[in-house]
Amino acid sequence: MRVLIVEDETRMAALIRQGLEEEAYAVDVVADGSEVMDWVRSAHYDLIMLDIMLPGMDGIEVCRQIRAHGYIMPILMLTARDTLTDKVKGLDSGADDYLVKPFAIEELTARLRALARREGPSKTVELQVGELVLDTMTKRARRGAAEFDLTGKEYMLLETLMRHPGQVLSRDQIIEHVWNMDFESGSKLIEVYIHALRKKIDEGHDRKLIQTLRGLGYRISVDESAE
Amino acid sequence: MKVLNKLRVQLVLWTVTLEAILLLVFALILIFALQNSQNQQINETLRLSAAQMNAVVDVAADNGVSRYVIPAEDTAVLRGRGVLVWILNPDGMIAATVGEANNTPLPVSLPPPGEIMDIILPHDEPARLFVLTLQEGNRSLGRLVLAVSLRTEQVFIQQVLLSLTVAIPLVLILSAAGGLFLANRALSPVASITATVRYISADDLSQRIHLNTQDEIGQLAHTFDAMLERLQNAFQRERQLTSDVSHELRTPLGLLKTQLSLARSRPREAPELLQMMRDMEGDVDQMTRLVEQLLTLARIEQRGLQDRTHVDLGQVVEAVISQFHEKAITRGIDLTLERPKQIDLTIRGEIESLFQVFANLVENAIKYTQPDGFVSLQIVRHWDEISVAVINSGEGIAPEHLPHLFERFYRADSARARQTGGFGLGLAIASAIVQSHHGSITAASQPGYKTTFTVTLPVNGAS
Repeated sequence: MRVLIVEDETRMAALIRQGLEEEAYAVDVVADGSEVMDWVRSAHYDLIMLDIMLPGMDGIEVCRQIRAHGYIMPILMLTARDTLTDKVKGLDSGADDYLVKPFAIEELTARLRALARREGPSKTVELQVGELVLDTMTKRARRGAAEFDLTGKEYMLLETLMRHPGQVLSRDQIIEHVWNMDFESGSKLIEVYIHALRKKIDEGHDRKLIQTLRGLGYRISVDESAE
Repeated sequence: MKVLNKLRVQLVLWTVTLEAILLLVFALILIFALQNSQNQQINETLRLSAAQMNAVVDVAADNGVSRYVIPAEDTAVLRGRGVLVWILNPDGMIAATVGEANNTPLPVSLPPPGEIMDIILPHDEPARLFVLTLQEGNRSLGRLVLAVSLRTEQVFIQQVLLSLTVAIPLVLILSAAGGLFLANRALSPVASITATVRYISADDLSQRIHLNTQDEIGQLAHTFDAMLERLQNAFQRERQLTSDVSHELRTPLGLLKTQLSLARSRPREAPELLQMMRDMEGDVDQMTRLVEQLLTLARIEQRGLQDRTHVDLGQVVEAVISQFHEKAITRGIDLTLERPKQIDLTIRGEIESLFQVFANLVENAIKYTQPDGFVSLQIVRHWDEISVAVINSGEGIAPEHLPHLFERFYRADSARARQTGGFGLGLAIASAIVQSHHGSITAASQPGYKTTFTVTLPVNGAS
């Protein structure tokens, strides 16, 4: 999951970034409201966190702009104000939810999970493909009786694939959802993570869930016909 | 409100009472003057008629009995005047009469000759008598008794009295009605003022009376409006302050909350936790600084100066400079002082507050000066004022910010000020202190070159 944090308070932004990265999100931070559209256009964000009080352009206007350009990813408004009009304005401008400062990091991540669920195929915290189940809260996966831990990047990669079951994702698409703007290592790194994931998920199983489509990308599917 | 407590009723009552007294005095004077005039006129008639009679009566002796002959035309004249005349012979017997005297008995008591007396004739006729001795040389030929009825005059006076007893209450009633009407008209703006002021509360001070008359009530309404304007501004500032303070406290509180939840969200190593605690301590310090600055501001604005004494401004400024000396050197800034020698720079004031003014200004100046720049302090005494200019080189302040620099929580460059830990209270505090010393503080800037803050303090301002 890739998140754009729009927050002008640099320390607050850094804390949210740390909290989200620890929960295996790919995070970008932008401080100026008027620059948000450039970031939204340049990458596929799964979620946007938007502070209402911003220099350049206020969060409500930014939100309207994002929606006016046809982007439908969930938007979470983050604000120090807790007046009714701000909540109403925020939701009416196209936000999906709001969170009033000060907040605990757990509440923020729970809201982000809820928003992601709203978009995806599953209404629970678990994603499932065949007998493979990924718990988005504990970040643990299990296949049948076997349960295994995942590193942050492994989890993000698996989550991205499992949110689009049966669908081929190109390397660039995967990078978009798993790494933030600081990522420059090239797509070879994906192969390393795919290899590690295969070792945990598919090793010892006849049916291989993670499939490579040469020249196209990767997918996760119970149907092995394309291999 | 009781009817009698109403201003308009009181006004009318006072006016009517005064009018009643004046009218009564007028009526008394009128009656007195009328009676006086009537008396004189009657006396005149009597004397004139007596003189006329004395001149025209012809006495003829006939068989030892005197006969009195009066020319007919004179008789007619006297009759016309309503004068009764009895002519008595020297024996006191009626010898002749003129007019109604013929049918009227001679009054029993008569005044001495030459004098006047009021009596009642038969039929309750009030009358005035005058007696004159008829003389020819030294010989008395008898007496003339003249009488004039006073009835007409008395009836006239009674009529006047009657008219007055009807007219005076009528005038008073009309005057009360007119007075009430005028008072209502004059005081109706007061009712509108009362109505407006009644609707004004702390929540809505935007109401104004807007009475556009130039009279006293118009002035009162105008004064009210001006007061409301000041009140509204004061409330507005108060609300703004509360909102600013909340915002300033919310930011570090939000950071604290997020950091605490982040710290306990997963197991962490001791060094990482230590770093987080240090960051949180910084936020607590930030809040403490804010609260302290707000308390300083409140103390100056509410209690004014506490420890007034003689302060050598030169010494205070030198102390400030020595405090920032090291900081300036580390940042490569040239910190200098120009002050007149052998000139008394003593003012009345509070040492600590004045130190804070210049410390705030110098700290700001150093903060906004680039390395290799300068911060220069110049003290000048003109007559009974001492001014201290704090000048620093640097990019300066844009003109649109200058008028707001001394407002609480105003930050010309919010992003940078926040990074440098300022709240936008330093200049507000300096300004409050200078004002409590009856001085002034101004800012001027030449963008790209330098900025000058000038504090001007009266020599005995705080006394």
